[in-house]
Amino acid sequence: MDKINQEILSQLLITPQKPFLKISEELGISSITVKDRYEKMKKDGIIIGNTIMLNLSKIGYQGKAFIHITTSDNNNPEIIIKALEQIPNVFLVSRIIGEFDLLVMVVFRDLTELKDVINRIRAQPSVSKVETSITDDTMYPVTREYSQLRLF
Amino acid sequence: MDNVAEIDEIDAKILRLLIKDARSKKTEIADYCGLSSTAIKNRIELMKANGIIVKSVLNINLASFGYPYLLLIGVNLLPERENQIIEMIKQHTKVAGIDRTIGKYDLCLFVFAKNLNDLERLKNLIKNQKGITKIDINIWNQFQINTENIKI
Repeated sequence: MDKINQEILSQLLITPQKPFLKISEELGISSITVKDRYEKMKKDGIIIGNTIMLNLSKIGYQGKAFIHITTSDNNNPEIIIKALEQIPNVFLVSRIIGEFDLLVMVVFRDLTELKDVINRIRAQPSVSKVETSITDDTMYPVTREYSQLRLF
Repeated sequence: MDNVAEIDEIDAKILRLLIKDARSKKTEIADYCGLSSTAIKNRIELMKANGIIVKSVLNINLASFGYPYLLLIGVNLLPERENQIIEMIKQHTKVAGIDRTIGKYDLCLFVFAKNLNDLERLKNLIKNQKGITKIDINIWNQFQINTENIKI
């Protein structure tokens, strides 16, 4: 990664919606160059995307749960991942390696909704153990913050 | 409890588009929703003012920066040491998310690692902190955020 890409990324990490024209003026290059480099970094998978962070408590959600799952049959994880993704308000299903096999993240409006989700997960044939941790943090869908990391 | 704001189906459409790409042009959103771009701009401004939209976030692939491992670390600790432990983690690790939780764990952390040596260093660093009673490390394999499956 060259100096110019680093500059572009540094600025976008702090202000993701900063107009390309403004970045180009500060760097003394053309805005087309900035746009091309942005698109190239997207194509190369360096930039995954530009998204927004929502606070779901403002529209009635109370919290978020991290549900750790152990499965009894790991031959076809895709099948269970598909099934888990169908459960309402599940926004992330990830394979993990370690103490557990899958992580499910879900947002909920109240404890009844959370209980229903956990029961639906338990009802899956290859789910053998479910452990839950909940938080009142309702930021969505971004759960990671990169702008604080010193990358360069 | 926060004041709950009302949003309608058009607001939800706008939010879904912005989650996919926060740099979407107002005119594109307007075409998609069948409204003028001024109307779209006003709705976005209102959702920002209501605190529903918190900010935009650039999502990058940390593997491109030498951090291919994302760890999910569940921590149990003595409550009186919680604040110091969080401070230590912020200072000494590439941490992208710290959630205080209730349930299986007291903290759920998202931490990046360079390689297996780095992973071991992180494990020892956290494990050796005074006040930590237990840690579980899971390595994130692959994940996908599903933004369609939520009733916004």
